[in-house]
Amino acid sequence: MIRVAVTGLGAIAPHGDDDRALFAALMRGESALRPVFPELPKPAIAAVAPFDETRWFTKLQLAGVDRVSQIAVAAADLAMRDAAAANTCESERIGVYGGCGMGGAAALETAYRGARVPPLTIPSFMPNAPASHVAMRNQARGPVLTYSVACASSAVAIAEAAKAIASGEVDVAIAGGSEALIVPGVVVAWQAMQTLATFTPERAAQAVKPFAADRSGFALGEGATFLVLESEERARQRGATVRAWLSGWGTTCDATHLTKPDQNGQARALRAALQRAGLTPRDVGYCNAHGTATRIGDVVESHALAEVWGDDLGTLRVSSTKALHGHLLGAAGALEALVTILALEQRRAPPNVHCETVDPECRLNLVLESDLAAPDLRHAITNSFAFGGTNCVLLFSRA
Amino acid sequence: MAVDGPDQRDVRQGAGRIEDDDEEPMSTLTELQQLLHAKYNIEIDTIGPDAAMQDSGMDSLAIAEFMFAVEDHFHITLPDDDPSINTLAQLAALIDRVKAAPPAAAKTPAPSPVTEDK
Repeated sequence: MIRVAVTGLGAIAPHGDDDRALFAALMRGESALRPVFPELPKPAIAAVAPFDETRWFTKLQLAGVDRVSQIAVAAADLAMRDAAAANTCESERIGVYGGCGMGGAAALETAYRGARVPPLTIPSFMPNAPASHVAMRNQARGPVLTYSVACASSAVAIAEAAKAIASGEVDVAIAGGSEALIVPGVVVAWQAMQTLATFTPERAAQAVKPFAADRSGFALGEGATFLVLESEERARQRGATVRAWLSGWGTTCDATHLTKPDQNGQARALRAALQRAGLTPRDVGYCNAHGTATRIGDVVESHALAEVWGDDLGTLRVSSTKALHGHLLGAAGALEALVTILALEQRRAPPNVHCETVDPECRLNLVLESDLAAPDLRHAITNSFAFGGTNCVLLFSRA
Repeated sequence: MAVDGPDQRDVRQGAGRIEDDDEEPMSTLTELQQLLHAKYNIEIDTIGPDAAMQDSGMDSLAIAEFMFAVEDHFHITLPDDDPSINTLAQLAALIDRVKAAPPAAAKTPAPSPVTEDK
């Protein structure tokens, strides 16, 4: 069986654009959540990604390119540089697999709010624009695909890219996702959904409390993350540094309810990833949880992990880094894949913060800030469970 | 964020109104060149009046966006997609024609009667 290598990582994230620096910030428990849009009737917080578009675009190149595509191009470029993969194969053998939940929210907001609708609103807004811009920038002329699967978008994109590498359909896959919807119209829509964390002004940055008894939901985040995937054989032939192996993946659908999570669907995705990797639950030492800190979501995820891990649940250390970088929705799976890979590389697990009292319904071995070392860590998973019922689990192994 | 903000001025579709009777301090061509520079960092001496706008690196999308900015800047409504406009000089001439034209009320046909008289 062809092993899938991760040879490059790139991110434009709330904690910056350097993968090791952003991981270090997560390890320190630094929250990137800040108040946004003080003009809104209800106070809002979000984690916005610092980004200087002039590093990647001239003013002329920015015509009709929404922020969601700008950060996608930048993150994919960082990943391709990390992999040193440019010009290593024919352009027809490069594929782009991009996750995006919404598309160009800023372009749409401008169209709704302005007196005139800019002529490039549609190409700016369309959800496949990020992947197309990544393709143009990298001359990827193979499959260039967008996966819009809500919160599992970029995890699904990475899983589908892995299949394309494993089957030999492409030589290089640029896989990940992008989301940039921190605009007033979208923030109020999420507020109306009543899944966002409540907070007091002085504790805004600590509002998201995964698996805590007093959790109240998530906060929106913004960013893009891409991975470069290649076969083991190709990576070795060209002397690429393998940052991790993508050993397994599992994608399922609950097919029960549009927004309510389902233990069975999640457990099936977890088992599928283990089976694909040929591993048992006990082999996996860390789980970057979906962990949205909603009342029901964290309980169902805990139960799904308990169902699959059984008596070995205590051997699996768990944290949700959404407490610190927010929920990047369509880009969440890719950023959390990057975090999971860094945990494997450094054999240190990021903490599950803001959780003073653990919900008794979430009986997990949560990573404490006082105990981050994971000296025996060899395999780790990251969960992405989406509105719409799609669940995707990625399983990475230390290179 | 990075997308250009909307222009809040009331530009009446299809009206081609001229509301600014001040004398122009510079030629329309120079104004266009300065607008290109401000919007896209295109140096004025790299896009001559008779060179095709595409030669300065603008693709069809950038040109569409530029036309929108031109309408905002000059407070005019340009006719839809005129394929004969390829250069800045041609665009400047078109802008001058639109600005000089009388209010385009005549362009809007009188509503046809819905029913025939008996």
